[in-house]
Amino acid sequence: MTRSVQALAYARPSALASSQVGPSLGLETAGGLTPRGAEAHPRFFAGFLSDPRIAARGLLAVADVAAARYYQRTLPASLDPVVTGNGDRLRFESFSGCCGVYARLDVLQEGLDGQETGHGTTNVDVNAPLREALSRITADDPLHLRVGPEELAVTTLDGPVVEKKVPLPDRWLRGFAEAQVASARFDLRAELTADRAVAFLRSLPRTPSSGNAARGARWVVASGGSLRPTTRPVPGAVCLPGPERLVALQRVLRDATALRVYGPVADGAAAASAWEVVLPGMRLTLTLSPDSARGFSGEGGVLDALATEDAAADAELVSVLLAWEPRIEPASLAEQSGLSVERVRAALTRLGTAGRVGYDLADAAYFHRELPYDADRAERHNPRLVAARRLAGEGAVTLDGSRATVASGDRRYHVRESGSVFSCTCQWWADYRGRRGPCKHALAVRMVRRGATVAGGAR
Amino acid sequence: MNELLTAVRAGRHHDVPPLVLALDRPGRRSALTELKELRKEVRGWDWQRRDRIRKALLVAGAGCHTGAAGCAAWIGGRDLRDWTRSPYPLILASLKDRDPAWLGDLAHRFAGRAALSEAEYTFVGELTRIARVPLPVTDNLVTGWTELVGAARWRRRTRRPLTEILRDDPHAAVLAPRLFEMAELPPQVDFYDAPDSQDHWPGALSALAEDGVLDRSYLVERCVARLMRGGKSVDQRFFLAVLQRLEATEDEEKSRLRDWTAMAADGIAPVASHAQQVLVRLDARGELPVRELADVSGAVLFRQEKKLVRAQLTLLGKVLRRDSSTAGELLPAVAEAFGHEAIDVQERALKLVARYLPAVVGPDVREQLASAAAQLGPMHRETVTALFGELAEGEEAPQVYEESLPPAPVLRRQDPAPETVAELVEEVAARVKAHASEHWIPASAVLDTSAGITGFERALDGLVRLARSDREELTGSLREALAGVRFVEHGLSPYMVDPRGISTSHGLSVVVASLLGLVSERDRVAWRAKTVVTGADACAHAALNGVLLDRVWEASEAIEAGRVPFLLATPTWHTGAVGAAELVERLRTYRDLDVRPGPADFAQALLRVRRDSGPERAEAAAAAEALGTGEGDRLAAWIRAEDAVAPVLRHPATTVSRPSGGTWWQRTTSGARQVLVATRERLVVQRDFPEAFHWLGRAQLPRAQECYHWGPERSSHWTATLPGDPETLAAWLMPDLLFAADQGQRGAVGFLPALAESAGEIGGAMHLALAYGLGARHPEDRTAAVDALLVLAARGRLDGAALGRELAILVDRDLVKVNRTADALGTAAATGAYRTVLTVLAAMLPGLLAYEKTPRGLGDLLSVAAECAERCGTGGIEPIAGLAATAGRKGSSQTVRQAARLLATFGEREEQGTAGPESDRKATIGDQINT
Repeated sequence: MTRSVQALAYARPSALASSQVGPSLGLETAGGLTPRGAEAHPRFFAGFLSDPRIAARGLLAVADVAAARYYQRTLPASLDPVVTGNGDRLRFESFSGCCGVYARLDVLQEGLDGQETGHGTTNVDVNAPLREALSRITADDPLHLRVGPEELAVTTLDGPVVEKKVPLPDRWLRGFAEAQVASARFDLRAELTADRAVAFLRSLPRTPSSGNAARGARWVVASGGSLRPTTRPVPGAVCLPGPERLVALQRVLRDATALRVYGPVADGAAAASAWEVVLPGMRLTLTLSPDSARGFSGEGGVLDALATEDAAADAELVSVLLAWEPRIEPASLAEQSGLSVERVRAALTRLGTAGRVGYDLADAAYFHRELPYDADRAERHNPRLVAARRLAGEGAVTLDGSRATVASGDRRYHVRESGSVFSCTCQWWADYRGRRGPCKHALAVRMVRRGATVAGGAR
Repeated sequence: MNELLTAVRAGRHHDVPPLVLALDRPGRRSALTELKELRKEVRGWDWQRRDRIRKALLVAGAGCHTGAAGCAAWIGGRDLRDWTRSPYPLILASLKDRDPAWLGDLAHRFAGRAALSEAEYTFVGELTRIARVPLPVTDNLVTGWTELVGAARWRRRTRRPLTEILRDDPHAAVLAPRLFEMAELPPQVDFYDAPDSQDHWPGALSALAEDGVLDRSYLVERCVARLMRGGKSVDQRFFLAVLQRLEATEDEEKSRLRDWTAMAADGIAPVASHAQQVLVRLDARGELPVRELADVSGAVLFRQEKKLVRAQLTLLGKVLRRDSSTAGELLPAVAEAFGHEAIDVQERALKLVARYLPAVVGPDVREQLASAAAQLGPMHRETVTALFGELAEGEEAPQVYEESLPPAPVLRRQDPAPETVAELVEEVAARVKAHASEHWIPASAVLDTSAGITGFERALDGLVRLARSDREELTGSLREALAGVRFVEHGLSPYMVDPRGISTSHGLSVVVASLLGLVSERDRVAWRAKTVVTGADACAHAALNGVLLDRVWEASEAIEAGRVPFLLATPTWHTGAVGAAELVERLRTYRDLDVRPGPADFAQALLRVRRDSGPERAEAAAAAEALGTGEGDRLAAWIRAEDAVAPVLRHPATTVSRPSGGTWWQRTTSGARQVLVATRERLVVQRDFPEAFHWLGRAQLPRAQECYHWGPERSSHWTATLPGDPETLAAWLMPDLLFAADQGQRGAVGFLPALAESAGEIGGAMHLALAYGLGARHPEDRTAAVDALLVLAARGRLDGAALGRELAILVDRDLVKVNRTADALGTAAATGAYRTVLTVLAAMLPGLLAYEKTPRGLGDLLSVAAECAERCGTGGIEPIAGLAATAGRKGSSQTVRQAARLLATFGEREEQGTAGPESDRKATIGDQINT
C-alpha cells in the first residue's frame, strides 16, 4: 500500500484551561491553508460557545470516529480531526482509520453565540487529556473556545513542542475525499423526531454481529414516523450497513432534536448513507460506506471524471474563485467563470476528489475547504486508474464500434458501452456490476476512446 | 563468508554465530548484501523449505548488520518471525563483539517495533542488562512482559500466585504503571476469571500498591482518567476493578466530583453504577452540590439501564426529603425519567414530582414540568391531570385511527432475454463468476434482487435462443470471457451437479459447460440421473434443486440438438409466474415450428402458470385447448383443476400440551413439540411429469430432519418453482423455520417475503410459517418475517387471529420464545400497523395468560399489546380471557403493570356501551379487508 507520513507540528497541546473569563477550550492548530496562503498555526475563532456541553460531546464524537477502526479493529496511530472556518460556522471533520465512516460536526453561527469565524482549513490537536477534560463538561457553564493560537501569544519557543508523525495511507486520503462526492448524490429519505430518533438509535447493535451470515447490507425504511428495518431494499429504503458504526451518535443523543437520514436511490445493492443528528446550533453527520469491510476509497465513483482531463482545466478555473464559502452556488460560480452550470458541477466533483470541497447534506451544497494533505496525489495514484493508464498506454485496447476488447495478461476482456455505461466480462464487474465504479478495462477503453476522438480516430 | 551463506542455506543456525564473529566489517557488509538477496528469494519458496532456513537467516542477518537501526528492523521482520523456539540467544551470541552502547541503542530501537512477545521481552532485557541501560518502557515491551509474567505462573511445579511473581520481578515497578497509559490493555491482563482468583491482575496490582512498589495515588488518578475516557469494556472493567480495590479516599472522592458525574453519565453500566455509589457517599457527607446533582441526574435518568435510573431516583428522593427547597432545581431533572420506557420508572418519577411540586416556587419550572408530564401515556393521565390540570386538552383531540401499512407490492415484468451475444456473455460471465470465486461473495451480489431467479432465467433462455442462432460466436465469446473459471479449465465437479449442493449459478455452469463441450456423454447421463431424489435424502430442498437441475440438463441437451427456439418456463413476472395467455402463445410457436417441448421445461411451465380465478381462467383453458396439441390439452386440464400443486393438510396441534405433556425432554423425544404440516399427493404430477418432479406429487409427511443445503439467499429458484403455491412451499420448507426458531439456525426465513408476495392462496401453512418466523432466533430472520407479515396485511390476506392462535401453540410447544415474538411484533406495530398486531395479540394472549407460571417475556408482549390498544383502540376486539385475572394479581412486576395498562384500554370501551360482539366482529373483518 502506498503511504506517506503526515507530520503535524503544534505549538502546544490543546487543552481546557481556566482563565479570567472562566474555563477556556484552546484547540491548537498545525499547518493549513487560509485566504492568505499556507500558515503554520492558523487562527479561526475566539469566542463563547452557546451550548458548551453539547459542543464538547459533538467534538468527542468526531474524535471517536477519527480514532476508530470499525473493520479489523486494530489500534494504529490515527490522524487528528480537520477544522474549517467558513466565515459563519466551524466544521470539524474526521475520517475513520478503516476508511468507512466520515464524521462532521458543523457548529453553526447560533452555536457560536452569533460570532463570525475566520476562513481556512487546518488540523486540530486532540489528545487524551483533552478528551478527558471534554468528558468532564457536564454542565452548561459558559465556555470560551479558541481555535488557533492566542492572539497575543508569541511563540517564544524555538520550535513546535508537540510533534505527531502519523502514517497517511493513500486509500485513507482517497476515501476521505470520495465520501464527499458520494454524499453529493444523496437525498433526504427520512426525518425522525427526537424521541423516535433516540428509540431507533438505541435499538441498533453496538458491536458488530458475529458470523458471516449476519454480515452484509441491512435496510431501513421510513414508516409511521420512525424507521423500520427490512430485509429488502424496497423503494425509499436506506441502506444501513454495519449499524454498530453509528455508535458515535450515542454521545449526543440526549440533546438531539431530530435525526435526518440521507441516501441514494435504492437500486437493490448495498449503498452508502448519511445520518445527521440535529442539535441546538449544531449538526453532527456520520456518512457510512456500503459495508464495514468496504472503505470509501474503493468505491470508484469518481474514476470516470478522472480518467480524462476534460474537467481538469475547469476545476483549475473554478478553484481560483473559491473563498471558503459555507455554501457554494454553482449558478454564481458559472456566472463568474463563464462556464456552464453542468461544467461547474463536473469541476466541483473533480475538486471533491482532490479534497478541496466538502458536501453539506443539510444545505444540499458543496462548501469550500482544502484538506491539509496532498489529496490530489492519492487520487492520481488510484490503483485502477494507474492500471487503466498502463493498459491504454500499452495499446491493449482494440475498439470496435460500441464494443471493445482489452487484452490483459493472457486474457481478453470484452467491454461494451451502452449510453455512458460501460460493462465488462471481468471478475470485478461480476462482483459489483458497476456499483463500485468502472473496472480498469472500462476505464482504459474510455481513455482510448477520448484520445481517439481528440486525435480524429487515429487508433 | 561463503561458509556463512552455506550454513544459512543448509539451515544450520547453531553454526551461524561463530561464523559471523569470524568475519570482519567489510566481510559482514558483503555477506549482508547476499543475505538480503537470499531473504527476497526465500519469500517465494514454499513454507516447508522456508521454515528450514528461517532461523539461520535471522541470526546471520542480525549479526552482519553494522547499524543498530538496520539490525532492529531485520530482527523485527515479520517474514522471519515464525519460529517455535526463541532464536534470540543465538542472536545475542552473534552480537558478542559489539560495544554496550550499541546494544543499548539496539534495545531501544527494537522495543519500539510492533509485535513483541515473551521471547522479545527477554531479549530486550538481556540487551539492556549487558549495556547497563534502563529498560525502554514501550507499549509493545509491556505486552511482552505481561506474557512472560503470565507464563511464569506455570513454570514451577506448584502454581504461583500472580502477586508473588510481580513482587519478585525487578521491572514490575517500571513496567506496570505503563499499563495505565496504553491505548488498549494487553490480552493477558484482561484475561482473568474470578476477582478472587490468584491470577487476577487488578488484585495483584493493588497489592503492589499496598506494598508501596507502585504509587497508589497515581494509579487512582489514572484509573479515574481511563474510566472517564471510555474504551473497550473489558479494559474498563479492569480499571474499575483496580479502582475498587484501591478504594479512593474521601478526599479523592471529593476532589474528583466532576469525574464521577461524567462517569455516571457516560460510562458503561458497571462504571456508572460505581460512580453513582460514590455520588451517594458524597451526598451523605454533604459534599454533593445540588447543582451538580441536578446536572448528573438529567444525564443518568436519560440512560436505559433501569437499575441505574431507579437508584438515581432513590438518591433524588433522599435529597428532596431532606431539603424540599431543592425541588425547583431537582424536579426538572426528575422529569427526564418521564421519557424512560419502563412504566414503573415513570411512575416513581411522577410520584416524586407530585410530592414535591408544592415546594416549587417558580411558575417557569411548573410549566416545564407540566409539558414534560404531558408526554406520559394514558396510564398516568389521571395523576397528571390532578397535578397540573387539564393542560393536555387541546392536543388530545380524538383522532380517527388509521392503520398505516406499506404499499402492497406490484408485479414487475421480467426483462426479455439478452438479444446480442455480447450482452448475454456479459450476463452469464457475471453470474457464473460471481459465485465462481467462492472465497467471499459480496453481500451486495447475494441480496441483489436482479441476481434472483428472473436474472437466472433470462440468462438461461438467452443461452437457448442464441445457441441456436449464433452458436459459433457465442461459444467463442464464452470461452474467452470465462477463461480462468475453474470448471472451464478443469470440467464440472460432481458437487456442482449434486442436488444437495447447488445454487442457481451452478445451473448456468452446467449449460455453459455442455455448450463448450466439457461434459462427456457418460457424465451427462450419470449426472442427470442424480436429479431424481429418493430415499432418506429426499428433502424438499433436494427435490426443488433436482427440478432445476433436470431443467438445465434438458436445456443443454436441447441446445446440443438445436431443438428448441426458446424455453417455455421462462417467467413473465418477477415472482417466477408465467402468464397463461403467454404460455399458450409460446406453445403455438412451438406447434408452428413443429417442435416438441422438453418434458421438464413444460412441466415447470405448468407449475408456474398463473391459475387466475374468474373468466380469464376459462378463457386461457379454452385457448390452450384450441391449440390442438397434447401439451395444449394438458395445459387446459391443469388450468381447470382447482387444486394447489400439492394440497396442504391442517396440523392437528390445537390443545394445550403443557404441563400435561410431560417435561421438555419427553415432549421433544416423543415428537409432541413438532408442529409441522403434511401435503397430500397429486397423482397428475406423478403420472404425467418427468421423474425429477415426482417428489412434488408424492404425499409428504411432516418430519423435522436436518439436512444441508444452501439457504434461501442462494436458492431463489425454490419460490420460483411453485410461484402460485405459497402454502405448499411453506409446508415443505417448514422444518427450516422450525429450526430457525427452535435451534437458532440463521437465514432460513429469507424466503417468506417472497412467498407473501405470491399470487396464490394464503392459508394455514403460511400463517404457521409466519409464526415461526416471528419467533426466529436471529433478528434479521425476524425482520424478514415482519416484512412478510406487513406484505400479507397490506394485501388483505392476513388472518391475524389465526396467526395469534398459531403463535400461542408454538409458545406452548416451547418452539418460540415470547420475548423474540414481542420484539418482532413490536417492530411491526411501530410502523403503524397497530391494529393488525393487536388482532394477532388478542388471539395469542389468552393461551399465555392461562399458564400458572408466567412465561418469560410476557410483560414485553403485554406492553406491545397495550401500546397498540392505546393507539388504535380496542373497538371490535373481544375482551382477552385471563387478562383481568393477571392484572389483578399481587405485585408490581412488568407483567402485572402492563396487563393493567392493557385492561384499562378495554375498560374505556365497555363504558362507551357494549354493542353486540357479533356486529363488532364483522366490522373488524371488514376493516381488515379494506386495509
